[in-house]
Amino acid sequence: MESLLFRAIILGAIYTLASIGLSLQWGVLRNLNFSHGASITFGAYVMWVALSAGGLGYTGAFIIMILMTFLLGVFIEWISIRPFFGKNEVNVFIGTVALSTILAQTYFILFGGRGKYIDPAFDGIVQLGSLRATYHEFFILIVSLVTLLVMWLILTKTKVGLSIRAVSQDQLGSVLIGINTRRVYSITMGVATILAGIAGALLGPILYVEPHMGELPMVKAFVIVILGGIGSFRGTIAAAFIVALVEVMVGSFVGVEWAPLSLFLMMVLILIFKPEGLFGVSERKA
Amino acid sequence: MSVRSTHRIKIIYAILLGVFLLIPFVVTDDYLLHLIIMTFVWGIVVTNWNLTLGYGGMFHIAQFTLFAIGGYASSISADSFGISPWLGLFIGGFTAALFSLVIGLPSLRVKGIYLILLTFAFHFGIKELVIIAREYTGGSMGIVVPSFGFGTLFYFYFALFLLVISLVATRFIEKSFIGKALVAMRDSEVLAASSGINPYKYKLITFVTAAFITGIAGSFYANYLMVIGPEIFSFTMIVNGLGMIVIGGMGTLFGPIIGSFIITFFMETFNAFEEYRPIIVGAVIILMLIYAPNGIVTEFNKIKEKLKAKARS
Repeated sequence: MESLLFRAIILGAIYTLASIGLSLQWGVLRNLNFSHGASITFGAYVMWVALSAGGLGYTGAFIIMILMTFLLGVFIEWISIRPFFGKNEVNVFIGTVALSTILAQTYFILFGGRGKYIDPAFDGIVQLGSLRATYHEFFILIVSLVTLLVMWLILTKTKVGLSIRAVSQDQLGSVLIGINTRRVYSITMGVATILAGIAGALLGPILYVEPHMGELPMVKAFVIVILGGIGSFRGTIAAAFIVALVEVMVGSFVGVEWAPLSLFLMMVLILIFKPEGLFGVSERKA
Repeated sequence: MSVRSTHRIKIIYAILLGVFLLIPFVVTDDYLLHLIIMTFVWGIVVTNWNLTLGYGGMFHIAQFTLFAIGGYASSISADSFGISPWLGLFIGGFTAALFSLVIGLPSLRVKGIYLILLTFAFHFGIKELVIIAREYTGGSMGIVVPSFGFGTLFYFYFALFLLVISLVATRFIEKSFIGKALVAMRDSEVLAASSGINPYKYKLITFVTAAFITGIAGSFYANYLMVIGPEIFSFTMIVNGLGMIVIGGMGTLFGPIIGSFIITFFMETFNAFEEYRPIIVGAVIILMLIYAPNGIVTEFNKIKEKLKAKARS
């Protein structure tokens, strides 16, 4: 039982990273990026290249991954969100979905369809009572906590973070006090993509890195942001752990193949009966 | 539009239909005929999708869900219960219509990103259900479907028939009170609602009508290719379908079919660059969205108007 709970906590930590970028994006840009899964995959591939071909250490690879995913996020905003921003949210959907197939196919051409394996930063297993855990699982917990802490510090203490929060509260007001909202949009997408990239890098040693690796985590991230209430950070974090718990429990007591179905069922029910999510404020009309 | 010009358009339609009817006598290459049939099949799918999202303003992504349901329903009824494929076509259509009610009843109440996400959840949820129900659906392997046992000619005319039905249904709904209500709603939901239009009812009618034809098309597709599998639920399918609509022109009658023609034939001509095709399709979609968001048909009409204006002056 405790090993199931532990697995849920680890999964929840990764899901938090995978989904909080979407929540941040919704807060600032009021749309969702359907190439988020390709960003997750991107982080994993950059990590793999930097570690295996670049011969860099884990820290170096991580820094390169963060820089590259930031650039990818700025690019995603530039090509598939900015041209349609404020005009047509449907085009944002079509644009980002199209971009996600472009990215996935690019990975396929560059790296082939066969799964790559990223070595974990720390190898080995710990035995804590009846609980068997790998060092990588503790690494995931620590990295997630540090990432969330850094993000919280950036959002509350730096000028960039304050302008991101200002834009998410009042677009027009931010323009009036001289915030360059376009730059804020780019930076927000960059940060959201970094978070996706870190999730991908942490998933690398668990799943094989292949061109469509990020798609399932992205779908789960949608379930999470809906469940938590789109745009609510606290809701997203809570929902990430709920989804992880449901997945682990359904997976071990009902059957692994029923886990994704239970998540979609949850998403449908939430959207029908409580579209503002469990913790969010109603933004349906916004 | 004057009486004379509508009469002229009717003549053009009749000539076009005649040309299409004659295609199998001119095109003797079996493979080319197969491509044309596939163009028709995707044309049916995107014409009905366009009916709901272009005219109805309901941007949902459940079109391939309904297409797959139609295909699976008839295939399962033939494979597991030995029902004739002719009856299977209707079983496919009715099952898709039934599911469209299940999907549409909650989904069409919401708009924008909520509608996209809700239909997204239905789409992938039903895909998971198909994979779990391995006993009937063959899981990730799919089902081998018995065919009608007719030649290519039969499939050609049947697909053309379904395509014409889709176009007629689109035109009929557009011209009827439902169409006017839908366009009014698409342009201003508040105004439409305050003048006594019940948006929900008309949206649902349109959605179910489109689903019925799409379901029949799905059964036809499964019978024609003699196989159906879960890759029909893939993202690539959705992107290609959206590409056809965006390239041809959302909310135009013939745009989606032209888009279907372009993408189907593009996929074949660039067979040698197989790996690069999805990238090119994706890039074209994004470029079209940025530079010609209303599609080829609308751009073509603009050029025609300009030429006319020039000729007059």
